Amino acid sequence: MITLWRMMKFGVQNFGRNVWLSVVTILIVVLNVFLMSMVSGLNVIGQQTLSAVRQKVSLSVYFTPTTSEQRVEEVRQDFLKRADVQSIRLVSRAEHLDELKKAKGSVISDAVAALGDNPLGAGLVINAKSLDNYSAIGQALKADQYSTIIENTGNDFAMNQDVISKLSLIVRRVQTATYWLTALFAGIAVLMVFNTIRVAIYSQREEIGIMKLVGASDAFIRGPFVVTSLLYGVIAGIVVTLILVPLLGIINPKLDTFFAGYDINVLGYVRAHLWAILGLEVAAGCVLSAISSFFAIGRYLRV
Amino acid sequence: MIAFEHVTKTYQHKNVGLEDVSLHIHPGEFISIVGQSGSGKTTLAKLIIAEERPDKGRIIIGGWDITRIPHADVPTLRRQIGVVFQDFKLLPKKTLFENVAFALEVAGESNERIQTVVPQVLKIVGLEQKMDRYPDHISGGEQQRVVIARSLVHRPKLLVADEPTGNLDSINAQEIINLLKKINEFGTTVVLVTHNREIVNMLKKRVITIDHGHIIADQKAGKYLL
Repeated sequence: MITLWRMMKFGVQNFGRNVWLSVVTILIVVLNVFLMSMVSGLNVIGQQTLSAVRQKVSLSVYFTPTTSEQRVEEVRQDFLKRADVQSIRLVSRAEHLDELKKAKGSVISDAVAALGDNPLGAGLVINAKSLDNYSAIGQALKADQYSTIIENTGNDFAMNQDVISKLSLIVRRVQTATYWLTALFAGIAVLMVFNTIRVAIYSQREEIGIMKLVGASDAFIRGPFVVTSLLYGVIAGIVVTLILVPLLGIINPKLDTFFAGYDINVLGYVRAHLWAILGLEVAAGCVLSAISSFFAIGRYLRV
Repeated sequence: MIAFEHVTKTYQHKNVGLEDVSLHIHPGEFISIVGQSGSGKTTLAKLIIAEERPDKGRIIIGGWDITRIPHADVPTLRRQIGVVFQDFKLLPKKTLFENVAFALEVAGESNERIQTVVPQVLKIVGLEQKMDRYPDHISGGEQQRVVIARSLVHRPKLLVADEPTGNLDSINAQEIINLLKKINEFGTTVVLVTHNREIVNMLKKRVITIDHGHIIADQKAGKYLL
């Protein structure tokens, strides 16, 4: 217990008595944790955007005006049983007409007034679990049992199948690219922090040798360096959070414009999860610097 | 106390440190190991504190065979030996008090004992008034006295001093030797590695002369031969 206490005391002492070395090391850790946060943030935003794009894709099916709403509901229930269907929204005849009026304006209103009755049938808006599933769902809708009641697949599926396939491919490629980019930047950050800590410890290699000659065990020497590194990590994590939140506040209006129409609010998310983010930043800083310190000191303990 | 049995230590490029060296040092002895630079006397000191391992032979310290001492046991060995170096080897970011206390802290001594013993030892070497200073703020002679205080604070039975006067003027060197003699009078075995002729001749204690890794003379109340 007394040894643990001494290791902590020496760690804090080491931090204070090598203040410039501490400041420089913290700056490098801040830079790298910030870089990792930005890349991770972009990764999350990218994933949310792709998810939002995926949700925007749907398959609309419209029935003949004579098809009863009960029959439409039966078809809906049939398709809900499919494993590849996420959800199906029922569009009544009146809703179908309203949507069309909103889209086309007075032209439709005038046409309907001339006809005297709603000429449109009810519809189903189908969301698949994955972009790849739309092809199979489209084929199922072409089955003979539905040929007399389905008027068309609103956005004609055959025409859009190619677009959906391309979108699906882009989504997969963007996902893979963001994973690799995150891994690459994380790797660079780890190497930079490791090297900085290594240089910091290198500058104190003679002291490590003296401690060994006086009879200090490896753990007794290593402990304070790890404690000092943990301090670097805690301070770096707090500094990164203090930079990140105001920075997001500044760029948030631009992000809102970019994501207009999508349910993505980066600043709101950060504010709601501030403590979790601070904890993650501190943990990232601590893990990076403490592990670097633990391994970097090894070569100087062979005295 | 210390036994070397046919010890050989060779460095890279076949540089001989020691070759087939056998010697016995008895408890309470004051022994000077002399020789020219590169003769192997520092290798002998390094072998005693397990800073180097022998290629052949056996080394026994206080009944403990340290020839193939495991890495994890080295700190335990060093806590039982006081070591004084030519280049002082003080921790620059610690005060004189903290430097001396460090030797007790690594051994897990209580804070109460450290607060009592460290000022006493610093008083013995005449530095009790400067215990809050850092090594850079005192003279070379004072730094060496701090090193002696650090090497004594845990009351070792053996003190190894490798060229302790090498970086000091003659007055400071004499003070350090007087301290070592006093320590020896209290029963601590002292192994002094030096090439200082005046000091060795003045001491009139046992002298082992090493040349090219071999012991060429072992005199009971000897003089510097080379």
